[in-house]
Amino acid sequence: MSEARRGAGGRRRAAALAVLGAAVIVALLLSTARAPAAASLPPAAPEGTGAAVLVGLNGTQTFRLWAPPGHAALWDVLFCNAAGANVTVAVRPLSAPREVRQFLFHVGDASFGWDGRSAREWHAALAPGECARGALEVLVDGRAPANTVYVVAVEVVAWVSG
Amino acid sequence: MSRAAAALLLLGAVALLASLAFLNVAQTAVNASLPPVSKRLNASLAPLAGAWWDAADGYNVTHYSMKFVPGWPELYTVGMFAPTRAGWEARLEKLAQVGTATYAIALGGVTQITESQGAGPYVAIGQNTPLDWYIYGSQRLSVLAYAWFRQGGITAIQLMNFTAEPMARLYSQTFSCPPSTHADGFSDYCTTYATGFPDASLLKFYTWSAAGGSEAYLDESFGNPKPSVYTEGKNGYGAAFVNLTRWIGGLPATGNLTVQYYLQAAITGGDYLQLNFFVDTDGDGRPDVEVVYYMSVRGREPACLSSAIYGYSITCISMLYSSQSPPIKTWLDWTVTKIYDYGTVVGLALVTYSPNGDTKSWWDNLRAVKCMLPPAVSTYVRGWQYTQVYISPSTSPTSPPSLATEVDAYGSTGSVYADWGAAVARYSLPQPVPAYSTTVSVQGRYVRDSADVQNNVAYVSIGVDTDGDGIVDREYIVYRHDVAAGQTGVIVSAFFADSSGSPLVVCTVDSSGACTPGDSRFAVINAGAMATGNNYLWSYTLYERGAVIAVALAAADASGRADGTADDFWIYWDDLTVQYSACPPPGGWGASGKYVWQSYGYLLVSGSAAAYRTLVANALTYVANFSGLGTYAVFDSSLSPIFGVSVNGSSFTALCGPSSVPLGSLPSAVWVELRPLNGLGDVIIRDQYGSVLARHGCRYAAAPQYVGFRGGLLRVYNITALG
Repeated sequence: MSEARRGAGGRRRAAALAVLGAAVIVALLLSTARAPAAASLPPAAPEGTGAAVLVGLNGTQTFRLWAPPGHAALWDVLFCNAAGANVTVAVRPLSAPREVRQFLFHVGDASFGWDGRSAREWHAALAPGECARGALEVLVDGRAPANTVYVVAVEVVAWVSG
Repeated sequence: MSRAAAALLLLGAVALLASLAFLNVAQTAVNASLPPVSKRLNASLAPLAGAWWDAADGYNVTHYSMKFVPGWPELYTVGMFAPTRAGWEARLEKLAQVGTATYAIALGGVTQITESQGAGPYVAIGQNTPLDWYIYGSQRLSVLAYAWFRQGGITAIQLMNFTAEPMARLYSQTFSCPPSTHADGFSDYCTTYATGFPDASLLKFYTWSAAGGSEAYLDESFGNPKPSVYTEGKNGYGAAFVNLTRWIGGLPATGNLTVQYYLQAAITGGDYLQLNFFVDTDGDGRPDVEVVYYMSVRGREPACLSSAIYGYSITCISMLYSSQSPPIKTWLDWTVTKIYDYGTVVGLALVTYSPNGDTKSWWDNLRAVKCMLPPAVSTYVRGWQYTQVYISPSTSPTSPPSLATEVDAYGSTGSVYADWGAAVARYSLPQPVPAYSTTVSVQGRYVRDSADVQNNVAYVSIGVDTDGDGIVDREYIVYRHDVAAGQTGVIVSAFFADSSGSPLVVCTVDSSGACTPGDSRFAVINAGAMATGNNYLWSYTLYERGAVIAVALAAADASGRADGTADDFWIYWDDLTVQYSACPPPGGWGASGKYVWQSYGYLLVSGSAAAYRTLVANALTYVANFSGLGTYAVFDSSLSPIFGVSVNGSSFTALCGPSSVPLGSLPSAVWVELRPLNGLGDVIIRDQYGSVLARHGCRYAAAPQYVGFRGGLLRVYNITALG
């Protein structure tokens, strides 16, 4: 193959990759702009009934929960695959104020999150539209000031797995 | 590859990677606001029960504590659950337990945790959902539990700690007092006066002789020992007069007198040896009757000497002592046991009288026994001659002296209410003694004159002050009767009189001894019949409120009178005994009112009195065992009951300030608890095992100061303070 042909072919592959990359970027941008429609997902839960964490999209989700100081508050929680493809998911605590003594997810037999001493991750595979049902246990220190909002952040990373 | 192509390739790779991986941050805003359910203390139980919270490992731990009486079941609503938002439920789940007991913790009336139950069902939490805690144990118990709160899909868990501790005994008081006896044998009211005539200062001599030769003087040369008084009647009399008023202040005519005499030769024919007594019967100090005791073989007209000695003539009664001559040339006693029926002997003459001869005698060692009524005795007499009360130095059912009551009826109309006569000796006790479990007994000898009509009653009246005002308001009458068929006896009160001051007639007594008082102040006890010449026991044990303050010994003749001692009857009372038990209250106890004693094995609170002590520091409950009639209460500083119970036998009534709540008849009640808590007075009545028979809570605002008792008639066996 001549260099010219190779050069012409390389330019075509590069152009294709560039187009693909540009298209994905556009898709990514579009995906962060709104959550994909997924008829099988429950609607976002209001305060007092639990939370549904969407897996397989980029961006930030915000939940509001109530946990009286000194009480272990238990909330129903769902981890739902919103990617439209099989994903492998990893959930790990990012940050928690020291007043939050526990922020633990219980899914099946697994517990992860922040137990007051260390942070543990959770790894799972979810089919498209599948939700893993669990509970979130939140313990705000009994001596923490009441009527205060404490923000806890959890990182949810998902990979398309086929 | 050009730089541009390389850049595009990298971008494509990134884009590929981006198309296969997603990054998502979930932010949770945790709103830490009020707990869903607040846990409150039943503050009125403080300090018996307490509640507080602290944090352990981040958890909010609510603590409930309670103290209990070891071995007795306890049940308290220690707290209340109340939701801060509507729609919550709660349940308890035991995590750990230290110590053993039988217990149950219930929420809203639904048992959650027991010694064998680990958890309970959810219970809807409304306003003031009670948290009840029952415990029956003897050692410390601590239970750690989850409190689950749920509303829809939200669940909150909190820790709760229940700790129960046995109370300690802080104070315990039992009561005891040995039995005592007040006895009076009436032997301390007689004084013996004696003289051997050491000189003639007591004497005044009188002689008379138709032809001269009678003599009377102090013989310094002879006596037992010498000197002695010599009298010789030679065709007349020789007399030595002793002014008893000057010597011993007079001698009750019912008393006795002894003098020694010595005869050189026998008295013969119409010779006399005489003791002439001059008796004042009207109390003016001058003699009204001359009583002559004499010895003479044939003479029956002894010499009367009132004119010679006092200068005026009075009734002269002669009493033949002996019609035989006594032994000669030896000193002999001459005793007159009862000189006269009444009055006071103011003078005595020792007389030798020989109207037609010569008789000589010596006299020595005059001894008079003068008896006075005890200072504790006051008398009431109504009747004909010689209705009276006196100390008899010579007659007794046991051993002389005795207290004699002699009576003849006042009239003979046939109407008992008009005719009755009575001789009453009211004996005031040195101090009031308990009327409960006190025995009064006295011996008595019954003697009636041969002419007496048998309508006689003799009785012991026990005067009781039941309400503590110091005045007799109930009279127990223990009587014996000698009432012939067709006759009627009578009992008159020793302590109650009508508006004119005349004693009330208690009842009439028929020949069977029946007496039916019409007045509830009188309680009569028929001790049986009596017959003249016999000794009897009058005895009765009281179980009455208040105190015995006096005992009366009485004789009553219903009707029929005669002069002198004819138709009279006598009761000679002796060995009056009052057996009782009375000691002051224990140290630290105060008394309001008169009649509070330790008696036998209890504290006797009687006759409207109160016995009390200050509250014991840190005490939570006061447990008492008592019986009878009265009040057990926590008092304020003015001894007004704040709360407590009144008891009448087995009937209990809870007291709460001015109000009262009947608790019913509780015959198996043994213990009564009073718990002065934080504005709550808890009254608990338990049986011997501590099981609760009745309970009443009293809200009060007063300041408790004392715990104690008020009678009625209350016997308190013990009281214990625990805390």
